[in-house]
Amino acid sequence: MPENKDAPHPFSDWIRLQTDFQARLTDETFRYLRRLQGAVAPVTPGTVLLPEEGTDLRAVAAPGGTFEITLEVKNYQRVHAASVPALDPLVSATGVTWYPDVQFSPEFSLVAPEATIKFLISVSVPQGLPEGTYVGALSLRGLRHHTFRFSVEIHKPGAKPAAQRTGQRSGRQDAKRANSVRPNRRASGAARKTSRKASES
Amino acid sequence: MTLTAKATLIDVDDTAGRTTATLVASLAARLSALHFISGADAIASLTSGFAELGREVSKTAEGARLREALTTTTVAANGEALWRVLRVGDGASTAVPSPVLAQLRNDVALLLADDLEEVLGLLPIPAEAPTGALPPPQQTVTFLDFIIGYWAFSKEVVASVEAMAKLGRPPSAIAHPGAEPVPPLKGSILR
Repeated sequence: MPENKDAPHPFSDWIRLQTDFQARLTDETFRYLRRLQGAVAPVTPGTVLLPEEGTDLRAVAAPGGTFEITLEVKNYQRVHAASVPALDPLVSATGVTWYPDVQFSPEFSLVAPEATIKFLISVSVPQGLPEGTYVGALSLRGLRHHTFRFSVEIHKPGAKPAAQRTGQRSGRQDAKRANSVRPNRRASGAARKTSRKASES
Repeated sequence: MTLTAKATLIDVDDTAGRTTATLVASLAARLSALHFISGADAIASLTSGFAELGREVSKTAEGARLREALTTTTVAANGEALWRVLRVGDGASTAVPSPVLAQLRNDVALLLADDLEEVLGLLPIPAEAPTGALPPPQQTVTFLDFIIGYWAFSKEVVASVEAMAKLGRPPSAIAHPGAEPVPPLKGSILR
């Protein structure tokens, strides 16, 4: 009786499954070992952005127009910090996503301890942008745990009076703020004492 | 119309914070750790860190625009092919991402510190102890995440160096040879 060469070998599926299993096991073992390695990795002192006077920014603009945001950042840390503002894409309720054309002045700044830097952010509204309210976020690069919620109402000229920036926070934002990492200046004060003690000793 | 926003940069709660001493300790610990891990682990951790930065920067308008532009080119396809065939992503996806941007910023802050010499005199300074908890599971490291993170990191390197250069005396338009006195050598030449 001729042997069918196209028929799968009875052990081929078993071998394939075993190989897959071994590969996955190795992968997961490596993943776990590397996580263990990461648990004892050196700590990198970090920075937290803490928005002041509300986190809600609202603007009104017309298609083809521009508006500006001034962002003041004060460095309460004891060493220099870097600041790079960034604006997220803005999304409307109808699903339109607007990638704003933004000019940052300056684009980057090294902020000395106790110094304040003021960024001027100019946003140009494209001509063909549909009317509506667009929502996004204003943040600093690398410090996205806290951001400014940013919304822009786009209306044709004369359709609605210009709105103003509000410093109000919604309840949801308050809750989010309360649940998030709660850095405060006391941390800096305590750390200052710690470092002073360390340098004295 | 002009909107106004104010924010402060502060230390993370329940940590020693960013001081010259803690930054020196962190850098020293990072360098020491290199003796205990393989080169592949170090590169995988850096790659993973750049990719994490890339994922974050891709959420901004500038990053998203760059990502969109890259996606439509052969660069993305070729990069992903290399990533897959050479298994770069596999190695990086299992590694704990290095906080590359925070490390760069800390190193820049050290270069600008007024009290660095005093702090270096206090060495060895023990680094802050890690919490001991396992870091969160990593996300898959893709080529596009990596390239955008590397772009953001490089932009910050260039900007940092330029900003530091601006802190110094501006170069004079005319250079007079020999105008600057040569500092005398201390001690023996055969030292």
